[in-house]
Amino acid sequence: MKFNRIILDKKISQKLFILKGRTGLTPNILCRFGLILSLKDPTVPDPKWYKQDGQELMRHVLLGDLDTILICLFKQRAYRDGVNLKDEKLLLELFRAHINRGAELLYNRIKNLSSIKELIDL
Amino acid sequence: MENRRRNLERGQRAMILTSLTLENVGLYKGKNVLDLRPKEGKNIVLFGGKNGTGKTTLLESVKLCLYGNNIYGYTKKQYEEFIKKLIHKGEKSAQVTLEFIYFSLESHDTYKVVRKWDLGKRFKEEFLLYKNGEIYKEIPREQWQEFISDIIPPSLVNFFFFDGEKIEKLAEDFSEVEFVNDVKSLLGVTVIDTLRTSLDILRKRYINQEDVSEEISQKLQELEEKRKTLEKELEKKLQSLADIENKKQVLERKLKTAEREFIEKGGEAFRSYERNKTRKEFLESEIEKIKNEIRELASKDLPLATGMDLVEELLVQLEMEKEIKRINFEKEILQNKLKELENILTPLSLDKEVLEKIRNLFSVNKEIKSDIILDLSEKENKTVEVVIQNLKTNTLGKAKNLFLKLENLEEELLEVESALQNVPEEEFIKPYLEKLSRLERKRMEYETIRKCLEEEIRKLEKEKNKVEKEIEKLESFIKQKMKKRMVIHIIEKSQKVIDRFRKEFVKRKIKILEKEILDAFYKLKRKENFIRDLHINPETFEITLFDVNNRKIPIDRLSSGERQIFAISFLWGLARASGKKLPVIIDTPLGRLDNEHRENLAKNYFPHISHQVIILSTDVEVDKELFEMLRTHISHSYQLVYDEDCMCTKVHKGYFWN
Repeated sequence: MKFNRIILDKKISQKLFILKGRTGLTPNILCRFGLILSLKDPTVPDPKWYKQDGQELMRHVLLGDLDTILICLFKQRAYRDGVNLKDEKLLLELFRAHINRGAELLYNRIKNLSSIKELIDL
Repeated sequence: MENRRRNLERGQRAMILTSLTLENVGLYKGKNVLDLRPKEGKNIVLFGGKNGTGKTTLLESVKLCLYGNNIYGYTKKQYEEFIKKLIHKGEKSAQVTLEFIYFSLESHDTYKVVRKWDLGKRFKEEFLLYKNGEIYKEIPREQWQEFISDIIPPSLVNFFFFDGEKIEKLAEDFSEVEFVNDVKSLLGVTVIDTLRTSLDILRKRYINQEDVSEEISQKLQELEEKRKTLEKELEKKLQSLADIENKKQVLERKLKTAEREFIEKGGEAFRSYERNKTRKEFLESEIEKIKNEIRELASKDLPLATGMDLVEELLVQLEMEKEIKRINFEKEILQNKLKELENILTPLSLDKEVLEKIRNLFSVNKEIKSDIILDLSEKENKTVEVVIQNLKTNTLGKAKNLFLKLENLEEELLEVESALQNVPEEEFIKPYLEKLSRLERKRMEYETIRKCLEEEIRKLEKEKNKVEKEIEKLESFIKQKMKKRMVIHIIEKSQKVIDRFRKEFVKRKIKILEKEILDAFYKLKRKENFIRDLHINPETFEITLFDVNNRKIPIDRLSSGERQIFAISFLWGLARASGKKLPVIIDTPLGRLDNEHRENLAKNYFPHISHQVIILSTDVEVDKELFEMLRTHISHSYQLVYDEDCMCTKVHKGYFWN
């Protein structure tokens, strides 16, 4: 998968901003949690739900050291959802949708830093 | 004259030239040793030589040897040219050696002065001084010249080593500047004049530094006033400081009482409130620490911990893909081998069945029904494995631990906060608490004032110190001024004394000089009564002669012969007045003298002028007649003869006829 940056939906960006206030975690870190959350959700997000008018995240900022592994997890999910993995454009759209939806899901579940604990499979 | 001899015998400072050695100087080629030492109580050493045989060279060599360029004052270049001309034609080096005995009060020592010149690549002069046969070590080499000049002052040389020309010049004009200066230094006036001039320079230097004292004393006054103001202010501040310290002490006693009251009236509750407040702060900071640790983990691999199922699935998938790849790799190898084998087997046209068997042998039955979806490189695989390994063995445990701690701390914080909210606001403590805090505030206020005062005092003291230092400096400066004024006063007084001394000194010296000159003149003059008296002006050193009737005789009224005789008397007188017992060297002294005068000189002058008289003469001057007259005083004689063959002067013993 080749991409340099992801532009989020404006509303999602705002939610990330609020989340930052609640947890002290930066939007890129929050997006990583959100991505996992979204991948765990059995429904498939629709890229059309999200515009690209919000915060811009560079790939290396967004994924950091977890780049390979997160992309793998995403591809695995896409494969399961029957997506053609050769269709790079579609793949990227879907990835963006997961990131956006993940942030939204996170927003609904996280009240403060301690509540991260509830997301973890211990 | 008898007197003088006796002086010499008594061991007064005196000097005898013992030998002069000329090597390639002027007309003297090679080494020429001339014995100058008078023998058998005779005082004259006579050198005879016709014109142009090198008589003058002898006289010059003695001066040159003793003083080098100091007596000529040439530039380096001029001196070099002068010496080059002096060196015998065709020679590259030359040398003059003068040996003499110096009688001092304690002892007598032999000295040897050597001056060598070398015309090698660069002109070089060497000056050496030996004492009693050894190089002179008592004083450093640089001071040798000074030492020589002490024994025979250059200023006296003109009175002891001179030639006929000098006499003639002097006979023509007795007020010649060069001579007047020589006379001055001979009398010792030069030293006094130098001292006076130096004192004057010193005095001017001191005077120039005057006339600022008005300004300074005004400044000093200002500074004194400033010091007084500062002292007053300082006193005030110190008083305030003492006041505040007092007040503070009183206050602190009150504070203690108030505290005691507060504790007695149930301050314990307040104290636990304080404790809870501290605890709350502590908990909050601990929580923040833990949270930061969690955030740190969150920025690493913690997010993965929220999807462990997914991660496990991923691991399975990756393992499977690896396996597929391995099988595919194996298949490929076997297929290649089979192809090679078939190439070998086909020409053998084997049975179809056998061929099929062989094919089966190479086929791989293993098949995994799955797609490669991730297709990671080996390196990527490794990275993923490492991350997951760390997640399982480290991060999960750490996170669990941190969240547990956080939970506990947050629980405790809730408890403490509710306890804080529940502090009973007991009405009766309030007034004590208020009193306590009021007193505390007051104490802080006093403390601030005290600190301010201390700071101000420190500044004032610093300033005062500065002013005091300035005052001290000015005072010492003024003291010095006073000292300087004293110095000026002393200088002026000294100058007056010196002036008086100089006047008196010159008067006496001149009286001696007058007497000595007149004495000498009487000895040489045939008309005994012609000149009766002689005056020398102490300022201008002008000479006035008086006759029997005390009438002035203008010098130019004397005949040229008389004037020469007078000039000789003058030189003799000066030499005697100098008090030095030095050899006399006279070069062709008898130029224009008539027979009678020459006889006088032979009888009265040469035998008595010095304990050592070296006469350089032509056969016309000291002729047969005169030679006979001098014979009893002549120690020995030399004759200088110019040799056409070697184009040089040869030195023979004896005189023209002797």
